Amino acid sequence: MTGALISILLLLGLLVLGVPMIVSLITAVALNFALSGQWPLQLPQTMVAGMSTFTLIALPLFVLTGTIMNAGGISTRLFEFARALVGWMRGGLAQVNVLTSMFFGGMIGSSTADLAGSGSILIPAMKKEGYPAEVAAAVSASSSGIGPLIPPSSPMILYSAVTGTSLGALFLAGLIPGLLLGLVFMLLVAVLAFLFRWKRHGALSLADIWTSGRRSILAFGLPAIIVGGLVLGVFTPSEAGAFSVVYAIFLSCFVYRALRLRDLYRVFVNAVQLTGELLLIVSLSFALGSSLSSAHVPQALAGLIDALVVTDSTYVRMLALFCLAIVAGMFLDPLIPVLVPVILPTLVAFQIDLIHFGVLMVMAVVIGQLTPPLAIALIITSRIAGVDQMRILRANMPFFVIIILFSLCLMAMPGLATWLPSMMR
Amino acid sequence: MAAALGRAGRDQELHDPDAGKSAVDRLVNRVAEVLGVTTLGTIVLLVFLNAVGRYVFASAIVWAEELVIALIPWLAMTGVFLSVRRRAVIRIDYFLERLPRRLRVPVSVFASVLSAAAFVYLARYSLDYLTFFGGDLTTYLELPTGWFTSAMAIGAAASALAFALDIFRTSRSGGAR
Repeated sequence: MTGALISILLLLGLLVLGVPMIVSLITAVALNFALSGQWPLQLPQTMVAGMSTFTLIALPLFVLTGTIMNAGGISTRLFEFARALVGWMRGGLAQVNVLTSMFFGGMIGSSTADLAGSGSILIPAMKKEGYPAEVAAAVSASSSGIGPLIPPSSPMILYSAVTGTSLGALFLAGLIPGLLLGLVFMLLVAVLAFLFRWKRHGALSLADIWTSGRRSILAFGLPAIIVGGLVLGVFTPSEAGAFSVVYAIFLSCFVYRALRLRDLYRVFVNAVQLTGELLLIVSLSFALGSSLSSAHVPQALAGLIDALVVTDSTYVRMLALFCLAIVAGMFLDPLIPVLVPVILPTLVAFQIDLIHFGVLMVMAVVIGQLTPPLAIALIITSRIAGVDQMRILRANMPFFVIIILFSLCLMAMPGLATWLPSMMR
Repeated sequence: MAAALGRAGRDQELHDPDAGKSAVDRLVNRVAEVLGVTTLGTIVLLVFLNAVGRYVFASAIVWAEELVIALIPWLAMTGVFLSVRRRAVIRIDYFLERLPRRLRVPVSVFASVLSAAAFVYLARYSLDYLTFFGGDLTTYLELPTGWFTSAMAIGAAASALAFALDIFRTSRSGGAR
């Protein structure tokens, strides 16, 4: 147990010093092996076993789909459609920002890709229209958090790979919360637009909606393949990933004619580089989880939580674990492969629904992206907007409060997450 | 604005990360890229054809899943190697960037030395693993598992070398890199 605690402290210390996450994990696991007298050969053995799951294949496939769609001119069409739908409202560009993130979420599954892509254009455009820079950045940063909830979601693939929970069920579990969070953000933007007299541009045009809708309709075939295939039981999530890749190539190369074969090579390379490290981190998380389990760390954690919450309520225990995830998410990215192997036995011991908690874990990831010191969403938007992170943090407070309240509602009403997957069983 | 958004997406995905690098560096990265792209392309094709075969022709490729899973270590290690070579590995920079300048270089060098050592450790035990279990055969294709798990040893050794080269170049440039 002491050896495991030293290893965890070493892991955190190395991460703080800027040592790569893979290296920190290898070092912490190697030290734990040495202190507990385990055979080091277990490291590659557990890593290979951890990688050898068919579910994990969904990760490179959906990342590849996202990179193809991002390079293939899809954002132009989605943006035009979003602008036709909500751009005429007061605070229209902020609404467009939120709606574009929802659309992106259903196709790209990565909040940072959404931020770096759409944020780099929408933030300057919002500034030009008179929105304060920190508000433009805050809207972009928060709305990028919708994507990880809507399938295909990279954090959910990682959670499924680490916990063995059905990825199809997780994808469906995130759909309603993702759409609801998007709608709540749009309501908040409407309130802010009214309070701060944000500008209104143009009027609702059904002709624009029709034209832009027709131009983007094929792009919406992608979420239809993913969600439809899972709901109808046609595909496994990994197969949905492969179909998405083929569809994205067909659309980008032959319909939109935005990508050439040479471009496709570069897009594949990006996907390999993006996912390779994540795959290795997932495999190391298995080794970490296994070595910490041998040292009875999960049992000690469960005992600690029991001592702290002094009640038998599953919700209070879940709240305690969620708070732990939020705190860890402020320091770790990716959060799930590092934290979940440690708390998984505790979740099982407390009989917490793993699908429900999976959606909460994604909320913890989103909160971590908006909370210093890591706050990747704030870092990206502050660079684009040219504003200090602390100013964005302050401007983001209304969105942040909504995200916290939304997470608590999600915890209190598990049906929001579990209803759709339960219908498909 | 819509057109600019499209261009931003293209630029983000299609820029050349090796622009300005030496011919040798580009060649090394190109070899890893081709290996990674071939692996990922094979995975996409196999999963797609297997699903199509099952639904359209009611006949699945029985060994497809086995081969796809076996290829994951190669995909992971080529991706990691490219990330190391392009200094794109996942790390937390927040605290490092707030250290005094005189401390930043030694801490970075420590991180690189530890990284090289950790990958040497992984390569060494992955080689042992390969020696012990590499001769085991896969269930359907009856191929030695070592063809696939060797990615761990080769990828880890290559990444250790990449970190070592980075330390060498950093020291030669006086920590300016």
